[in-house]
Amino acid sequence: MKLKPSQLRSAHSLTLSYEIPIERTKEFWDGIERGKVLTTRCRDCGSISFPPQTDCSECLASDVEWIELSKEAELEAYTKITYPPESFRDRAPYIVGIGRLKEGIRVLAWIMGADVPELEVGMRLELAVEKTPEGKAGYFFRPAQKEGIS
Amino acid sequence: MALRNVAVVGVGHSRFGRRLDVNLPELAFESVREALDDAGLARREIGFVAVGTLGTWYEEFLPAVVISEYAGLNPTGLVRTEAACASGSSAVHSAYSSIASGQTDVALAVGVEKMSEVDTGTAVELMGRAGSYLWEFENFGLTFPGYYAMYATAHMAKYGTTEEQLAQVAVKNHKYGAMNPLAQYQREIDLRTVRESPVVAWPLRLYDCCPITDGSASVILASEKTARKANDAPIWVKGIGVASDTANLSKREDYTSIRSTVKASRRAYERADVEPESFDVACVHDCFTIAEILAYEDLGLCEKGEGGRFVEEGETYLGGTIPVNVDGGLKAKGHPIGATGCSMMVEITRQLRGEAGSRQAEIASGLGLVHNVGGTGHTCYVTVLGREV
Repeated sequence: MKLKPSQLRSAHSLTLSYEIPIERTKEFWDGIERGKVLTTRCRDCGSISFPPQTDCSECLASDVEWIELSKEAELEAYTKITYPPESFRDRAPYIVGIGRLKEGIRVLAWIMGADVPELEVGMRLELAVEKTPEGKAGYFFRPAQKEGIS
Repeated sequence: MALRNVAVVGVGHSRFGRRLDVNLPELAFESVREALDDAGLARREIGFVAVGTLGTWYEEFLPAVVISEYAGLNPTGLVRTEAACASGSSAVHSAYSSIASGQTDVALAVGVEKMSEVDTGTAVELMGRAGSYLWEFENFGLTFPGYYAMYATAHMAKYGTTEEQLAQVAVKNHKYGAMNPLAQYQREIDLRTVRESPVVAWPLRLYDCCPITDGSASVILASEKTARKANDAPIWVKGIGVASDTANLSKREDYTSIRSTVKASRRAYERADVEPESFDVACVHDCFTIAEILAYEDLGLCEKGEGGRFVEEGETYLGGTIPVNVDGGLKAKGHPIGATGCSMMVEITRQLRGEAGSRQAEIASGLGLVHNVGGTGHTCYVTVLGREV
């Protein structure tokens, strides 16, 4: 049997947790609490950003307005994560997708209410906001309701 | 200002794998010492050192200074470079630039990573944060296999690429890993092994993914005058192309192509005055099997959408149109993040020198290709190496 080489376990462990400023995008986070997905549109060049940002990366102006995103999306790419990061251990498996909205921007979010066999690139999705079982509001996709019913 | 010609004059490569027997500077030393011996140059001739590494999974906070002290490289110029999985290439680029610009005559690029000092779950967590933490990790728990799996579903939908074709990449790279004594996995696998391995991020399975690896690789570069004095067969850096792209995957326009690869490669080809058909051998960034298929297409080695068939038909094996990753690639040789770009430079240098033994590709044009992607295409470095200046 091969012996494991000698290791020294560091006596000083480190726990990293960050306080991330969201003051500039507060409208977005407040919007989610109210059931709406908002983002920024540049007042100078008109380009829409998602994720929202108050400085425009197209024209570098810093004058934006908040708009509500349409809910219709088309699925462009997806996966089902079965081996999660350590901090998502109790959430897996989960499905992640990228949907392209009418506005031309894309949103990455979990897809709820469908498993791999029901998913297909090009299918219609709906962007929705709902509270998780833990009571935290979040945005996600679900398969769009059939024409005429919604 | 005209750039000066730069050549590779020395290369070194540690054994890749789970290296519990060495710490970070000891691991880096293995390749630094070998590269110095290979170049036949004294340490004092080195005017600049760049250390490419991502870090966080090992205990040192300033890896470059720790390595420079251990290998007795001070008081040279020193920098640590980071470009995610292309950190090694960013070190090569930094060393190259120091010579091409005339600031120094000899420079050393060290790529190193020591990933097994934390548990696998933590390593997966750290890699998953490589993108946009706030918008893609915080609420959605992306992983690196997850990111590339999204490329896979998009490519499969658009071009009909199959899970079996993905698996073919793993089979090929393990075949050559088995022939490389420095590789982490020196064993062949068959299609069934890949297809029956557990799903990590659908449609990618365990054997579609590169492993977590410790390793180092070093490259010594020199100006033309010094290179001709030091080395009988310098390998010339004919062109390096670099490009970047968005942190958020959701800000890309297409998931069937890595845009930074397309841009960086065209810049490199133009600088080197070569065509994508010119190469005798290539190392491409196969962190996942789908990544190698994307690389074939985006580098112009085959037509867009034909990547799956290209590997299936054996075109990237030794004897094929263009042998790719015949050192085992990231898949079987291993992917010590910061070391990979330097490792690819070592392999292509040895191939062009005719030193690759049983894995030797036929050298006709004397041109080799190195393709190193950072993150999900966040950065890309493409380097053209050649036997003629």
